[in-house]
Amino acid sequence: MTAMPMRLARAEWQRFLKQRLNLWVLAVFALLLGASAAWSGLAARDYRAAAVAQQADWEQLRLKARAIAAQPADGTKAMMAAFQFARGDAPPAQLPALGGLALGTGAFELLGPDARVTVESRHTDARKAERLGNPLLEDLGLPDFSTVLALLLPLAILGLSCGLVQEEREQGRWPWVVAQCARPAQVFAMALGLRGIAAWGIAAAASLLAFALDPGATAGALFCWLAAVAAFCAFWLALAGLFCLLPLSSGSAALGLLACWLLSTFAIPAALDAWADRQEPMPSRLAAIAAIRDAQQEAEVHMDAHLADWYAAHPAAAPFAARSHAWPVSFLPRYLAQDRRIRPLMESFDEARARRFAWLEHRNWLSPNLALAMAADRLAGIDAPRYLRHVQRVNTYEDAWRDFFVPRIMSYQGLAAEDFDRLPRFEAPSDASTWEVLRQVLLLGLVALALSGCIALARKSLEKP
Amino acid sequence: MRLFAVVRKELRALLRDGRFAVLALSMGLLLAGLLVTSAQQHRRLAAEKAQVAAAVRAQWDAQGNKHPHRGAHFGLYALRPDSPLAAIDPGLDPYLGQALWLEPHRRNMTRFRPAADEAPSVRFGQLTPAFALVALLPLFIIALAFNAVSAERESGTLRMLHSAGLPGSRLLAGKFAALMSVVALMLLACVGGGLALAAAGGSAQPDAIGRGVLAAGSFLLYYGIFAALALAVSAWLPTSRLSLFVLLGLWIAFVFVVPRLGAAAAERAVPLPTAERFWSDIQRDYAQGLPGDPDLATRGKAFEAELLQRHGAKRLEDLPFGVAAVRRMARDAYADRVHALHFDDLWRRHMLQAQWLRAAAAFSPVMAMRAISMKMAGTDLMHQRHFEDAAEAYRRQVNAKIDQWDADHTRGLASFDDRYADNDLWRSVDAFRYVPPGIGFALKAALPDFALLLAWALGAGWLLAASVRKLQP
Repeated sequence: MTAMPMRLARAEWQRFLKQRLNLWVLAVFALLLGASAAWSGLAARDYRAAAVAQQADWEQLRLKARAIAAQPADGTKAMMAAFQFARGDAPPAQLPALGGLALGTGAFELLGPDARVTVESRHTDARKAERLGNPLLEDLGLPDFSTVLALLLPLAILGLSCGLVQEEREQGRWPWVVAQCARPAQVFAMALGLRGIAAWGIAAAASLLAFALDPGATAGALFCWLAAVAAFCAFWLALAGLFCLLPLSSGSAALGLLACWLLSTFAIPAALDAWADRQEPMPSRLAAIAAIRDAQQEAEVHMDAHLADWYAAHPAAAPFAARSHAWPVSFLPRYLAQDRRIRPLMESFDEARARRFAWLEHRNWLSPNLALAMAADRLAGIDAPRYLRHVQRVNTYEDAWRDFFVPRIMSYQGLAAEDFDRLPRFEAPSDASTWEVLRQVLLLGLVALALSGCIALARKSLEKP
Repeated sequence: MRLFAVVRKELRALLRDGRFAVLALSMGLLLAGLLVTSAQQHRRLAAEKAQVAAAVRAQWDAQGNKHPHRGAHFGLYALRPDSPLAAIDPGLDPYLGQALWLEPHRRNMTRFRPAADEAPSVRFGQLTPAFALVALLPLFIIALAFNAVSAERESGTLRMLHSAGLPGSRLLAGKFAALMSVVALMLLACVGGGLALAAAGGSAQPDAIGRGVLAAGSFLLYYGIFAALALAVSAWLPTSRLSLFVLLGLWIAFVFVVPRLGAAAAERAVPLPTAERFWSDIQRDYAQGLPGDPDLATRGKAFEAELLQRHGAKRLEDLPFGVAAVRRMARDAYADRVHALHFDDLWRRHMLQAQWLRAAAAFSPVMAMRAISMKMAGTDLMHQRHFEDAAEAYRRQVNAKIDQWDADHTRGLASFDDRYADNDLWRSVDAFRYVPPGIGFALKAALPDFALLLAWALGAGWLLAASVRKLQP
């Protein structure tokens, strides 16, 4: 009894290999996926190396500033040196990439995961935090592994399974299958399963390559990713199987499946985006410009009052001798005041993004391609909820940075050499949200199971010659 | 059988094919939906831009009493007006910043890229009318034409037509003409609809119409390439299934694979500096001086010495104009030079990357068509550079005006904490009025892409002509 399925599998495998088109589809799929995996893995490696180099550069900067601070200087000069360091030389507050960075660095490039805290306003001058990129290349899209896989895997399944039944019928071979086999559905299931294993196998091998090239990759991320790809593969395989059972010609079935791919890749995500926009509207960046300027102007008008308030609240930092204050001392309380208004405004964009992401995550089973892209973002560590938590941590860190520097600047004392050893440091936990990915895998798996149920219900049609 | 008869027969066959009805209806509905949605968004964005530009200007005008340089630092924002055709092809707009902050001393980059706020699906490509025209309509052509010849062969009608004396060239020409007439109708409806929507929004100028006509002509040529390729493949390959797979493979390669590989190659071949490096290089060249120039302090001392000598004064305090403002003007002139050098280099790198992509267009007509479409819509890099250059010229003009006013209204070394400028000064600064370049600019920028598209058309035409000999039953 157990030998029968094995014999069937062997026979189907032989039949699969003898069809040249299958081999062509697999070869092209493997080549493209392999190239994309290599590119993404190397990009992840470069990204991690650049992050480490950035920290090392900053350490040099700190040591240089420490050496200068060790030399005797008058109060104003020391204050000015402390101000220059505090406003422009803070360490990069980096969003640490997670174990799945090899799935694509594109989102990191787009969002800019490094922030530079300052005693001025980082929101009005994002010079160092923003990344330089060519919009033309960004528009075309770089070959991020997860994106390429989400685009190509369904098409590979289409190429492998299209016409599995219809073409056999059109060419008169299916009646032979029905005549020779008690359960044609078993042959069909085996053929479909083998195709699924072949497509998933190539995807898994390419994933292994991408993860192997990234020194920060983790086994947990790889496991979650392979599970997500398996669920994704199962969905498309089940859908392809369902199309094989429909009373269509092989060409029409291929076009129908292609239409499903177009819907899942472009139309449904666009519709979900539009829907999310209504449910969780994104505030206007353009309108924010006017609000930011309003805060700037307001703070500037009340600059003297902010200065007086600051010294009243920090009597210990007031200079011993009465003096009139000039830039930068006269400006710092104003920056703090304007940031109290600007910061929540800017954070509201990240909050809206996080809410939209969560909203989409609950509905992305409607578009498996979108679900896979979102799972990849989670595993790489660039999903919107995590980015929001990062922004909040950066804000807390900025407060600590300011609490450290502002009193030393306002009191005209500057920093002593040993102060540079006590600078606030940005701590970012590696808070992987594996559970969310597994939940999506489960959802996709359930959808695939439901489709498989439909195939099981329609399997009678296979018994027709 | 005359060519016209073949075309009529093919058109009738197309109309009778259920596949055509489903595909044409889906495509038509999709295009119409995308056009209307995009036009609405375009209008809303234009209104918001106008509103924000007015608010920003009002804030500038009502700054109140300030030191003029502090007022200049409050700055202005330049917002780029969208061209009417951006509703059809938003091009690079999602990846370009929406606003450019204009302030003294420094040239900034545009900020707030809409793509950063989009869902992860943006990576698959944005569903816009241009995407439908560039990527989906060719798929529609493939779906209609993949079995145009192979089905005739499989059903035996090719043999009948051959025995009736119909030359293969005439059969292929008829099929091509019938297919193109259907596609041309859809294209006409789409571009016409787009222009009508633009006109309803009050933004259809002759320039936009000219650009629209050029874009439509290019699209027609582009669809001709796909129609010719589809018919040729259908004629060359023995079965409809194989033909469909080969054409789908080509479509995937043209639309998804080649552009991404081209982008990756361009990025590796012409790397861009990091933002940190870019800005610190500018700061270094400004502070230490460009090669052969002295550093900032030496330049400052030399400038002050020259000022004193020119005016026969011994102290800066005795000079009959605002020294800080004049000194600032000299420093800013140098800073402008440094910025221009680095920004030009960055643009040069962008253009080199664009050339790599153009080379990739030799492997995909989609890339050439996308480039043409964006250029005609004014949403490409060249148009963006034109805008940024105009904004930079305006930035310099505004700052020079304010510094000149400061120099004229003060003497010697005035305190930076004095507030001697008022709303009259802010209001005297002209508003930024950007005049987008005309069709000639777009045409010149798109010439190499037109040449590539033409080369593709010739290649596809040759392949179609060569496939005539494969029409033997």
